[in-house]
Amino acid sequence: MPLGGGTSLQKKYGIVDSADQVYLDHTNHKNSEFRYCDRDLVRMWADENAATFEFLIENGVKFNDEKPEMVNGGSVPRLFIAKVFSDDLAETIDGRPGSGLVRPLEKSARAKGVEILLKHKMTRVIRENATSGRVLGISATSENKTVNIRARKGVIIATGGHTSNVAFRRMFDPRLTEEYQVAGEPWTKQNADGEILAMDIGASLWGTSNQSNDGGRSVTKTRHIGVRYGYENLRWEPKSPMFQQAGGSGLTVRSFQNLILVNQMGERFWNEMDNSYAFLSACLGTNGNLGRDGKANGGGPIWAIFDSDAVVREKWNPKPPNVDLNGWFFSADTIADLAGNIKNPYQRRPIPAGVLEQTVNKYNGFVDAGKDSEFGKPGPMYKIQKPPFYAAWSTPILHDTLTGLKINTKCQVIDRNNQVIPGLYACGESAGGFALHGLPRVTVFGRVAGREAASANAS
Amino acid sequence: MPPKDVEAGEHRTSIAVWDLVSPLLIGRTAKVKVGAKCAAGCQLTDHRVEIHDAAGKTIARGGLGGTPWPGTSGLYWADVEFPAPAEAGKHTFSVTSEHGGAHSEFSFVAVKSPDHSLTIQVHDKTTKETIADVEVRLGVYRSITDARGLATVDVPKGSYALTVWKLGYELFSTELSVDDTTTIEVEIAVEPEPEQPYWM
Repeated sequence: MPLGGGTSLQKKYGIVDSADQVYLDHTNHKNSEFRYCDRDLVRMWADENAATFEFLIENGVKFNDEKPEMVNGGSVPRLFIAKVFSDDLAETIDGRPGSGLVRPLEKSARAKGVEILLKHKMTRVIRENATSGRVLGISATSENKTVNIRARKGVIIATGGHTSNVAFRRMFDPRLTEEYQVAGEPWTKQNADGEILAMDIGASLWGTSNQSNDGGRSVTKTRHIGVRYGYENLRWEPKSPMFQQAGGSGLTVRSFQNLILVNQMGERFWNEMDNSYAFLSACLGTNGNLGRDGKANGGGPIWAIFDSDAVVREKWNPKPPNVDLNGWFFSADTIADLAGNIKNPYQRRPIPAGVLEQTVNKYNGFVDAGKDSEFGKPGPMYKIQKPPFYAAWSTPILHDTLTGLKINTKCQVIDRNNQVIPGLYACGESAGGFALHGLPRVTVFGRVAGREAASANAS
Repeated sequence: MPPKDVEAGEHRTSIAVWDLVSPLLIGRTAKVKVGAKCAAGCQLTDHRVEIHDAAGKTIARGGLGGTPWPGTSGLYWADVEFPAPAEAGKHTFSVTSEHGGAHSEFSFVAVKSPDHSLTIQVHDKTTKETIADVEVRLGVYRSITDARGLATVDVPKGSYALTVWKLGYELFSTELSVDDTTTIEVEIAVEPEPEQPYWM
């Protein structure tokens, strides 16, 4: 939880911080993640940092009592890690510290009388008129029944972003076609439900450049390969109740020296060691697709190709539950057979055996020469030659939603005519204007939205 | 023999070539493993594989063994020896299998016999301790450090790009000239952890 501005834990460790410093650190024009942000929102966020941190503690969040770390390009340490809520994998996402934030807040909210409806799906935001007047409540469906829920003070849209909605995410980046999976799935989908319903009553989007600013974590390099969901900071464990849907844990790559990455045509396309957005842009490139079939967008699947020597070096066990044999991981006795074995819903044409053989032979030549004269992989170390051979899904995975509904500094949603929509608020990844990864953005805006809605006059 | 009920056209066969240590020394004999796999699941024991030089001349033959390579479903294999080319440089040879008419290629580098030895002592930049199992590359020549952090590379006199790397460490590279048998020391740094190792 990287919140600063002079929190109690920062003071305990002698760290001097201020709201001004937080603001300056998060408006640096050199950082593409912050370059396109609404600085009025960032200022409010900076001002509310320390108070939000104390709010979390007051509501039961416990942090590891360890010296904080630097994060997000900040000038002082701000990253404190929440204590994992429990060992029960039904209560956490694989024991990650985010549970130490969400579960205590849930517990605190329930204790204060909050009712959480997990079997209701919001289907409409009710406004006095189609695109004017006050927001009165919402419609929802539950067990095939429609219910209308009256909002006395306001409705807060906090439905978690849009990255799972292919049509919606492609408004900001047409390359993000259906082959790109999403971190956090299958636990939850981020379907832009709230954004769409708010737009139906006139809401505007905001800070849309943030979604494709070639920085941050909107598109990420896959680290757990051979499974559908390989986001680097989330490895699904077999004991998780979600594991059946996740399909596998993945082979965690310690070094991309141990493999090559090939595109949908079976060709290398970039230096595998690169972790920058240049690598991701190459993954999202045409990759041999001439676009003649009306499907020119998207970069297509990316496959890691490696041999049994790589398996030994990486200490992998290339079998379930570590890999998902249902279209995300393949093996074969020869490279030619491996090409023929690759069958996946997003691999629209078979990889030609001769092309993959040629790719591997060429790369092996670079290893012999000690130089990758095609893509500049530094010191290519290992040939891909010893059977059996493997192909593992390594297509980039999406994560952050960095744009959303237009809000003001009270988290009130703004319409297309730049007017407040009375009674409608937004926060979290449903709100636009600030492209900050993770919990510091959503906790601050969530608290402000709740406070402002609670203090509004009842309708 | 092919299994029953298999049509002749279904004997698509593919080849793997491995365990060739590059670079090869000019005038020496090289050894490589060649494996063949029939899509129809044929048992390929005693079936012939051949190695051809860049001009297409057959320079070696071998008969596949009776047991598939470990971990494979039916890759029959053989050790095949062949003469290294007489000219230095990169070479691409081909391999064929009589079963299924399969064809594949492999490449390697041939070099002159070395006349010097370069010994590299590798240390951790921070702890100064020696490091074992470090990959050492000197141009096309390669070695790996032993338990004492020492690797020896035999090379001809000349200028080389030295690359030193181990998993978990940053790649070290430099240019150097070798004109005598000598020892050098190299320090490599631990690779930093990713900036945000937590789910947030």
